[in-house]
Amino acid sequence: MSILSIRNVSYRYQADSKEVIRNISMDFEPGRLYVIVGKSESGKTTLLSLIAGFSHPTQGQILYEGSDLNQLEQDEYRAKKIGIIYQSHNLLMRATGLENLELALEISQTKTQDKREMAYRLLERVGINQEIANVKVLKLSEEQQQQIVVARALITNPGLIIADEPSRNLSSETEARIMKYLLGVAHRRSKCVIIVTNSRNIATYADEIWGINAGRLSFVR
Amino acid sequence: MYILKNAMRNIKRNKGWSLFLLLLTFTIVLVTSVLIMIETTLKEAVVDYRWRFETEAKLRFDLDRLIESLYGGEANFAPTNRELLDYGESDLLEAVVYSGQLELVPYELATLWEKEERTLYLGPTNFNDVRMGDAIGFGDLLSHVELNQCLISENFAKANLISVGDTIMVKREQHIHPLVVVGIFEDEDESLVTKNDIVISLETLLEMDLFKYDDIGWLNPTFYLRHPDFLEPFYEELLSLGLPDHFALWLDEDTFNGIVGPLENMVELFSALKTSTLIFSSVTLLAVSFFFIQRRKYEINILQTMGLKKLKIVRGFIYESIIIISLGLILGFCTALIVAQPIANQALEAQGRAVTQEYQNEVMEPPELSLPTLIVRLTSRSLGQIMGVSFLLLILSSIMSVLYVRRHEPLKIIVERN
Repeated sequence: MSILSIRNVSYRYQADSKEVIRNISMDFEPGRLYVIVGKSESGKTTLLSLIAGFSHPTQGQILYEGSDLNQLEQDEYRAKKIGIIYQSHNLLMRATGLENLELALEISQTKTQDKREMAYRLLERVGINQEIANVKVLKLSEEQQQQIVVARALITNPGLIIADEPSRNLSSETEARIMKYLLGVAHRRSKCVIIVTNSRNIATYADEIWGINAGRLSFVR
Repeated sequence: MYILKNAMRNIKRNKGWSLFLLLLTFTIVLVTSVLIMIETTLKEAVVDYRWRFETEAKLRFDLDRLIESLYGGEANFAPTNRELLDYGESDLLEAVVYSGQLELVPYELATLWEKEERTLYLGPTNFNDVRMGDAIGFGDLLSHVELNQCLISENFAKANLISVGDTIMVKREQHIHPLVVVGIFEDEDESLVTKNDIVISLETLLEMDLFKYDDIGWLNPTFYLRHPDFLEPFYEELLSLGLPDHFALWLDEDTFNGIVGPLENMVELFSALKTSTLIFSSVTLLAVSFFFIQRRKYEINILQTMGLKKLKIVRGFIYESIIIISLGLILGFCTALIVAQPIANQALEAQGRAVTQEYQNEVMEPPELSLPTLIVRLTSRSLGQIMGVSFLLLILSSIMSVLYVRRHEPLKIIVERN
């Protein structure tokens, strides 16, 4: 059963503006890593914001585990069901990386014996050691910030992980490390990972590659 | 719990702004607390003085009416000592203080300035409670003077080699009366009492054969009414007891105005200052809160994208405000407790100078100002007002976050940041 189904979804920002997403239909399965490639302004980020529940389709529906996203409690959906990796990080800049992760655990009410230990472990896996984890985010490099964003998206163990240009600020070494980790999360822990990007390199990790152009989605490989 | 923890961390993370807000609330609480405490104390002092003034009455005669009475052949033109003492028995009175002076011939005693002054003055007397100190300032001392006892002046004692415990004799006409000296008072301050004074109680005076109940009354009663509203009924009662109607009950308006006038001016001043401080503080705090929340809109968006409910975001901001404002309240309030008294003293002094100057500018004799020493106290009323101000600050600083978070949607972060 698909974890996320997009059914004839169209979207326009304003009633009189042109459609940025045009009649898209697609099913996303758990245990697979999807890459959606497209140029800028092709509708990639808009599609992700629809999946994240930040905006709602002007037509059609998005189903998460069979339930209409519009009917789900949005805060709970974002806290527990979905992990989002933003290209612009969106971290609490004055907090440390560790505090960002701990807060995500608190918000999602994740049950664990030691939240701090869990956060350290995950940060270690994406390449952030304990020392860096305790530095304020604003003092970290772009790459370190991006690594923390990845860890934050995964810490609540969501079924669906979406990523917007996750490798934009990463070195090729870190990119490879994170992509391998995301692939492992998808395959070994049976999560659905959706990445939108215009990087061909990222696409090489995909189980399925889809292309988006002028708001229309098409299967590539 | 984690909302509170995060709020505490946020205060630390934004320590520059937190300190600024703390300083602002500290200043607001300090200024308003001082103003509230002084204003409340002043108001209570005014009420207290008004009560005292309106309950303290003396007998004075109206000259015109007295002349009319005399022309009309009115025989009873003044009450006797007995009548004056009877007036003091009224149920409408809280207390009565009698004072008076009686000339006596010294008996085997040297007086000071022997040649010029051959008499002793038998002092002001007192019975019942003394609420405001008696007319010549012997209030406390007189409470130690019992029947047939007296106080004498230091110089008089020296001149006659008298010590405490000695018995002296006073004489008027053929009557001689012994008095035991129970105290010697300093008589440096000549305005207080002359050096030949012997101070006794009313009880002793009434015991003396030399006191005549049916003489025209020379005792000066000061009546302390139970309530200001009893003035008229008490006067009616005195008239019914035979007080000639050219006597009236007199309230010491000059003294009252000398004290209460400046106090009332200060109440107005402090009240106006308090109102303007509150208005100015409210506007400033709203502006600062708006600026502060604007700076944190990014953080609000992130928390929303992480799935934190708007209500909890608002709660976090309110916790921050509570912590900062509570700190500001404690610090401001404690400082206010320390500085309120000196400020009140200075304000009182300045007010006294202003009133005197006002009269001098109009080439008038300024009234005798006997401004009280104002003891600034923290009453439940002022405490309530200060808590009210703090609550207002909390509402004001929270209102912006409530409004801002309510209307903000996380989608904006994606659009704006990208």
